[in-house]
Amino acid sequence: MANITPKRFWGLMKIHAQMDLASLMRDRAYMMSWIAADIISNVSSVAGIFLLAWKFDGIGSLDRWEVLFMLAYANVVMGFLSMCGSPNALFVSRIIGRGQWEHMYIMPLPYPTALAMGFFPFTCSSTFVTGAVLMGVSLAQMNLALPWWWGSALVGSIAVSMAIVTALSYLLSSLAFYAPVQCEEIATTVLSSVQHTMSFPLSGMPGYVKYPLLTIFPAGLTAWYPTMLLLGKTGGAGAVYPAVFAVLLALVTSYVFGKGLKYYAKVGINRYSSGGHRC
Amino acid sequence: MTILKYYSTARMALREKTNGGVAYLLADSGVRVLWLVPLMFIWKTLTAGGYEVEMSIGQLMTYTWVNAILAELMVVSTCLSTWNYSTRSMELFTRPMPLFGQIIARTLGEWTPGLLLFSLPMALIAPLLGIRMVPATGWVWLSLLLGVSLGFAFEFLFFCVTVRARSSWMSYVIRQAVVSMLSGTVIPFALMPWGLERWLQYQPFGSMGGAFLSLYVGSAAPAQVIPAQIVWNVVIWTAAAVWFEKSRERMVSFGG
Repeated sequence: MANITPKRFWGLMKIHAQMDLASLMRDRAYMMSWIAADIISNVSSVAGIFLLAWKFDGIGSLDRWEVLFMLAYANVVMGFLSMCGSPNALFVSRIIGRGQWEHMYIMPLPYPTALAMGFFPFTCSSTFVTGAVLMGVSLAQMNLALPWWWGSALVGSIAVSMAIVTALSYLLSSLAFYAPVQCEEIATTVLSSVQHTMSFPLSGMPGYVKYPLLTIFPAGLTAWYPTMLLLGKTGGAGAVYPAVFAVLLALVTSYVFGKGLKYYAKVGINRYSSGGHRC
Repeated sequence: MTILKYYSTARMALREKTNGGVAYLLADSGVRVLWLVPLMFIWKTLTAGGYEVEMSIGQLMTYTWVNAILAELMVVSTCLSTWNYSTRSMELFTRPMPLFGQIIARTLGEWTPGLLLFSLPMALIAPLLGIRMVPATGWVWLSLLLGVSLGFAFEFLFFCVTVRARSSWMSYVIRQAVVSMLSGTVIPFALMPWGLERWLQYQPFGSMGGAFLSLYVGSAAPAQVIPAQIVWNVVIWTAAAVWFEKSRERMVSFGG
């Protein structure tokens, strides 16, 4: 695996951003309609739970604006991931399952940098922007007196949530090294499940529903639990739990993914016929 | 034999769905259970909070359970949604069969394994969990038929959007999100604030799965639901057929 300097890395990111901006500017009407479609989709995904929270003046121990904050937080997390990994970097089981990992063998870049080909800060920003706007609205409505460090806590929390989602996607995508056809789309399944489940406020749910969603399938750690921490509804030693969980999950993922990669290096995956069709 | 070629198409789709082994279907079943459980507990949380809810907890449980086990039929999603992206829609035009018939036969075939291996067992265990599976009225079956038919009509309509917009993802993304919200399958219209339910139940997406589910649990009357479903079927099928004829020559597909 090749080494890369920070200067070269950011230079590549700049090129990706420029290409993304060029695609936005080339056909503005088309791209604007794409972004509008994305915003409608994001607002719709938030609307259902928020309307319920509005009608019942909150869900569990969260009031309606706190529920909106949670939904906005979820959108910011998924939106940022979408900007950084939209084509397939986040859906890595597709790259593995389609036998495309070796495309990176001939690139003089480390794998993480090569995977960062999915950096689309303009055309894939609508989920992030929707989330940021909704977060602003919810914070304004809650009228909280936030401490000076709250902004840093928010950024750190979002980074931890993103790490958990990414690690979960890569962990389960490792199965594609062994069962490429069956598991080609497993990352899609994982991410759509996280995206759906993270929008549920777990407040008031019994332990046998809540705890599995904070451990086995940690969707609760990607929006609900961080919301509880950031709004001061829980704290103490529990405040470091998401970060500790993220580190442990990343270590496990790194080990499992590495083993899968070694297996792939030995047996390979050949999904393409001589005519270029994938089978 | 006309019917045989449709049967063969359905059979081909069924085999395609299962040729990776039954384990291939487990992820989809797992996801559906994962989506089902928190929502059911949200209903419990809301009703336990002492709020006045327009539907009983039993109705809400049945509504969510039936939606989960019949998810494909509630919001119809066919290969048209994604095939234009991956050139496979070209195949449809090379076969000596009408496109509409092919898609419907294919989709029915794709539904079969899930209905047999997930929906049926889930329907059988529901009474053991205290979930009532007997529909409130016999009209539900007509409503289901009309809802599925309308779902197919929307698929053809959205396919025309993908052709005109030169992107399947745009219409796919918007369709998934808007339809899941406006069809009333996830959150019943009866629970919407500001009297929105009166408006939502008569918009076209409201005549899909949400209409059937509200009849199933008895939160709506057949006289409210069935006429709207018939009207929207006529309107949307007409629009889909006309627009499809005008759009098919514009189709561009270049692999994914």
